[in-house]
Amino acid sequence: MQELAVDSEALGKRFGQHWAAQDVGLLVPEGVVFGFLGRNGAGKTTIIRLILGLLHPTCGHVRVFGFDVASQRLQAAGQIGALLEARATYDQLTGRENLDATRRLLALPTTEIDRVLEAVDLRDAAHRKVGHYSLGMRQRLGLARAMLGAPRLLVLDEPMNGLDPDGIRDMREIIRALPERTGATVFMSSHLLHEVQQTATHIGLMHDGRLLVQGPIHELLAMVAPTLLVRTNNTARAAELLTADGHDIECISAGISLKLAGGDPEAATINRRLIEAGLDVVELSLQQTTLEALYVDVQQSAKRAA
Amino acid sequence: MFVSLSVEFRKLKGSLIWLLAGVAPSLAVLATLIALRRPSMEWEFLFTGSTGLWSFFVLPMTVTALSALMANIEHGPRAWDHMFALPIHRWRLFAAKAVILMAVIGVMSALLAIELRIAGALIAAVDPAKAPNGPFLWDLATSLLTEMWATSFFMAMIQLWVALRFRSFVAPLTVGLGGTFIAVAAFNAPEAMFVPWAMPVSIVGYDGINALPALQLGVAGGVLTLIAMIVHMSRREA
Repeated sequence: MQELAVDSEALGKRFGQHWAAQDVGLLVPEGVVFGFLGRNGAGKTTIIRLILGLLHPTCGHVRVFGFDVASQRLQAAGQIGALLEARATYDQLTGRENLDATRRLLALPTTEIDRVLEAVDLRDAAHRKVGHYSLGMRQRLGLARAMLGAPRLLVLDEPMNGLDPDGIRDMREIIRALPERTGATVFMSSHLLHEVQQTATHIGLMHDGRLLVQGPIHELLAMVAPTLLVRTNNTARAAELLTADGHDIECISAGISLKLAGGDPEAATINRRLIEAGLDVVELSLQQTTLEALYVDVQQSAKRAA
Repeated sequence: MFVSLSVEFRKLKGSLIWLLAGVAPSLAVLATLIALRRPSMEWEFLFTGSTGLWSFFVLPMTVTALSALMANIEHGPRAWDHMFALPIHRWRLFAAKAVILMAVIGVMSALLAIELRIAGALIAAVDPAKAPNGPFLWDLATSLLTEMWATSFFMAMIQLWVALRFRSFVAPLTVGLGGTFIAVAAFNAPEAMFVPWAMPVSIVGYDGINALPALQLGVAGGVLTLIAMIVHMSRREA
C-alpha cells in the first residue's frame, strides 16, 4: 500500500467565529505533485500552515508521513521543506549565505548548498546579495532552501505567484521534475489552474474552507463531461434546434458550446441533426476538459448542495 | 545553541545594528566632553559623567532601537514562518536573539570605556593643559559598566519581547520612549530602581544607595522576562 505523505482527519481551524478550514480530510500519496486549488480565501494557506505546525488545529489532526504535527512537530517538520513567501530571505546576505543560515540550523554538510543551487539553476547568482534578485530568482532561492536536506515532502505556497511567463515556465519545469529527481512529494497550492494542470499529477480543491474533491487529476477530469464546440453558418438557428433537442447550450464568440454527456455517438447525432436541418457545419470539435471546467463544475455542485 | 547563536550573528551582517553600536557610545562620550568641558578634570568625574549620561538616556534609547532592528531582521522579510517550520526547537531562536542583544550591549559598554580613554589621550595630545588628571580608572570603568550592563538585562528583555511580538516598529518604540520618560521623571528617586529603564542609572545615581537592589532586580527581572518571552513566543501561532 502506498504511504501517505500527508493525511488529515476532520481537520479544522477557527479564527474567532470564522472557520477558515473545516472537516478537511486530505490524502496526499507519496511521490506525487499535488496541486492544492482554490480561490483566495478558500483556506489553502490555513491548511498549509496547519501541515507545517505554524497553526494549532481547532479540531482534528494532520500527519506527515505518519507523524502527528501537533504532538510530534519536530519529527513531522523533519520530513518537510517549505517555500511560503518568496521575500522571506535576508536581503543583506548573498543567496549562498541565506542558504547557509538554514543549512547550519539543520546541521547539514556545506555540499548541500551547491546541490540545491544546481537544482534550481542559481549557482551563478549565489554570490550576489538577495536584495538584488528578481522575484523569480527569489522564488528559486526559496525553493532551493526548501530542498536543503532532501526532505521527503516539499510544501510550496503559491510558488508561481507574481512570476513573469519565463519565471513561471522555469518554476513549472523544476517542480514537475522534483519527484523524479529527488523522490520528494510536492504539495503545491495555487490559484493558477492552467499551471496546476500542467504541473500536478493529483489535485485537491478547496472552497469556503472545505475540501470538495481530491484525487488523481486524470480521474477527476474524466468525471466532467467534455465540451463540444459547434460552429455553423447560422448560429441562431443551430442554437434553436439544439435547445429544442434538450441540450444545455451556451453561445460564445466562436459558436455554440455544450456539454457532451454521450461522447462521440452524441456528437454524431448532433452533426446529423444540423445537416438535416440544412445548416452548414463548419466546425464540430471536442474541447479538452480543463481543470477550469472541473473547478467550475465542482464549485457549482457545492453551491447547489449548500 | 551555539549553532543558533552563530546563525543569528551572521544575520547581522550589513545590519544597521553595528552602526548604531558604534555611534551610540561615541555620542555619550562626545556629549560628556561638551557638557563637562573644563581643564584638568579628574578621570573619575569624567567617567561618572559619561556613564551617567550613557545609562540615563543613551542606553535605554539604544536598546529600544537595537531590539527593534534585531526583531526586524525576521519581521521585515516575514521570515518567521520559515524559521518556525524548521525542525528545530523554537526556544533556541529567541534565546539566541537575547544573547546577541546582550552581547551587543556589552560591546557598546566596552566601547564607551575605550572611546573615553582615547578621547582623554587626544585631549592630552592636542592641549596638555586640559588633559584629564591621573591614570585612567580601568577598574572603576569595568565595575560600573559591567553592573550597568547586567542591570540593563531587564529593560533589554522587555524591549526585545515587545519588538519580537509586534511587527510594527511603533510598539517597541512606544514602550522604549515611555519607559525612558518614566525613568527621567523618576531620576534619583528611591522608586527609580523599580523602573527597568532607570535601573542602569541607579548604579551611579542617588549616591549609589540603589545600586545593589537595582542590580539584583535588573538581573532577576531579566531572567524571568527572558523565560516568559521564550515560553510565550515559542508557543505562539506564527
